[in-house]
Amino acid sequence: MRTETLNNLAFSSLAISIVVEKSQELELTKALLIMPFIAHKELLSYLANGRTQIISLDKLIIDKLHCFSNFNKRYYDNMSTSLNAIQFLSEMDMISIDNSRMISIKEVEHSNSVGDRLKRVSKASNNISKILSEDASSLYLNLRIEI
Amino acid sequence: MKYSIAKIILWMNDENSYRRELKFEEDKVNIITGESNTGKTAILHIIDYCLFASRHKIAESKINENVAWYGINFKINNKNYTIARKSPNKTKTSSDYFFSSTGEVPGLPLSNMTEGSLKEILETEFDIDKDVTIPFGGRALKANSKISLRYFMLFCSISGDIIQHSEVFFDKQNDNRYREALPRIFDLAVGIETIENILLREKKQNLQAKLAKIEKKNTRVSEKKSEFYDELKSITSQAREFGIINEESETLASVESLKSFIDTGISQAYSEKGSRLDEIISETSFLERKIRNLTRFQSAYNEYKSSLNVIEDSLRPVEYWKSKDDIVKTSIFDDLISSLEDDLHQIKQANKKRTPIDGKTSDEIAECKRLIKELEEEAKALPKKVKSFSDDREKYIFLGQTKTKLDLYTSNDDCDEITSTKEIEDQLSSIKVIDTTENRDLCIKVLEEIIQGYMKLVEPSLENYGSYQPVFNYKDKKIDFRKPKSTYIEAAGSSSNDMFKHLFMFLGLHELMLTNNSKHVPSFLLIDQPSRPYYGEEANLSEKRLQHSDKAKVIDAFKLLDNFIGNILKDMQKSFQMIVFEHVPKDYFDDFDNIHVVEEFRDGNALVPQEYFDSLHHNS
Repeated sequence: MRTETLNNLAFSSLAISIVVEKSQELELTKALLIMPFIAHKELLSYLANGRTQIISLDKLIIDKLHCFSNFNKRYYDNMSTSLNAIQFLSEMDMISIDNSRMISIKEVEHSNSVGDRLKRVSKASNNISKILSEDASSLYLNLRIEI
Repeated sequence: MKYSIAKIILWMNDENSYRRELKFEEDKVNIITGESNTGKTAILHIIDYCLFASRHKIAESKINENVAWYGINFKINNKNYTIARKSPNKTKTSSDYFFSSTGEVPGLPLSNMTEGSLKEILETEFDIDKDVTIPFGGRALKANSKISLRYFMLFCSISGDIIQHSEVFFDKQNDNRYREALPRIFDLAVGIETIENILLREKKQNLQAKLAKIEKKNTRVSEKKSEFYDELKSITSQAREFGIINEESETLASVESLKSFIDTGISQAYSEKGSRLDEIISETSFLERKIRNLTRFQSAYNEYKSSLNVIEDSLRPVEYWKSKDDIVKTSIFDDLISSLEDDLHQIKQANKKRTPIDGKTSDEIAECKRLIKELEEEAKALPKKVKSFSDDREKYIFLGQTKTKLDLYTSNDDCDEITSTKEIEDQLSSIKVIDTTENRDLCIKVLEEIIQGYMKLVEPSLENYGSYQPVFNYKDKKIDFRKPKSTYIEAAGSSSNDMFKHLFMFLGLHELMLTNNSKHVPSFLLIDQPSRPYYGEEANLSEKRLQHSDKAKVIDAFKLLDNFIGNILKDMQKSFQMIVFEHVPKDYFDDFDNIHVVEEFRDGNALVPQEYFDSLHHNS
């Protein structure tokens, strides 16, 4: 399936807003990292598991190395969708952008009908937000995103 | 392996969280000199503690009772790391670790790592993967278990306990695990043995076993062949009557076609197995994809570094969204992009000189390969194609009977053919395993030659042994002196000589390791008070006891260390760091280029300085 179809605008904008809501505030550079985390099925299930407690990205990478081997590729595959989603969220007044940070304004209301994948994102959002609290340059470094 | 400690950090317990830092220089003999009871030796224990010691020897009074966290900031293979460990509660060590892959030293560390994962990160740097194993078992160590990086650290310290010991040259030899580890890792550490060589030897042994098995089978086959042939004749003639096989064909050819006939007939009954084959194919291709990804991830390391260095103002994401037309441009697009561009630029700048953490990719690749092999084995047992079969009942019964007979005479390992051994023999002859005994003798010779050079350098300090020959005792891992042109090994008894022997051996081993490019042992050495023999054991030390002649010997010892570093830097173009604790006055080191006096622990200055205790009183 094409990335654009699986991670369509509706899904990705909701997914991003869920994570931003958890963090309250998030740098734009970090927001681009949300989709690549979610786009890996095994990694998402691991992060959504109630027993998983992330203490640092370094440890996560060491424990789940194979989930990160193509992170750079996932980053670029998802970039258009992420950028569109961010613009969409801003147009819908779900978030505001100030000084290259996204600020959550409105709470996302998602019912049970949103689908299993989005529910999993919601469960994983705590862990993802924890990971994204690390310094942006360290995140880009250890996720090996080529810039 | 390049390794140097940049800082030792103590986060104190008080509410101001005062931080004590000691800074060390790369490529130098770093000296901390001072009075006893100032915490010099504690530094050795702190380094050991931060690198996963399961027991600790840090003094409780004045030090541990005041410290909340211990940390080291160090460089390993050009990466800058910080590791901190929460201070032990009396004798109980802590499992709380802080790790920074960028070498950041935090205001107060938080537990963000587990010991297991941290060890994995360091094992990667020590070049330890699943292939680096204990070659043979003992009471405390199991064969084929993974070698701990702590065993390699045995080569990196000469503690106060052993520096003037006449028999024991390595630390921690009262601990079973370390005593057993030393002879098992020595060859690997020093470079007498390499991982490649161990693996080649294993491969050779496997092939030899395989060859022997085939040869045994071949003999059995040729014996059985004649009696087997008679029985085949009667079976095939019956099969001809049923019209299953061609009338005119040879007996052996008939058996072949008969066999394939039976196989296809029987596989009919198990046609569902075909779907398992599909599963295997898809699983295999999944694993192969994983291997490809991991391999790329592994090799992406250098690409990643170089991509950070391409032209300053070009950013890959920016290029990417410029070239994409599926991005919608709303009113905020330009602002969004320009702020992203700024931030990414900053990230790029910040990461230029840093390197990402390295995981154990090779282990995961090996695991995937193992799984693929398993699947392939399973696939071999499954029929590749399923053909339809329609025949009468009697034929089925005959097929069943014939199968039993054929099975009976063709014992499972299809002994109808003599297997060719040529391929295996060719493989065997192409594997060149380096003979370690030869290599070992050579390495010992080189080591002795290196040490001979050191002895020349400090000849006067060795008194009557100056002209003797050094002998490395491989079995006990120690240095002896041999009288020239004789086989007599002299028990050069003075503690001064024992101290020099320790220095000779450790410096010699490190020089040898650097020559052999050994990847497992850090180029680092910590020495606790080499001048110990000249002071005696008494607690009340006085400078006057250091007589004129002894002073010359102490200076000679430092000349040796200084010379060693100079030689490593200039002649070998490599890197090395030493940390030495001393008692002698600072002016002893004035004439050396490669010695750096870190601090003097005198007049109230100590690991935990008097000033700090005074400030505590002030506050309370």
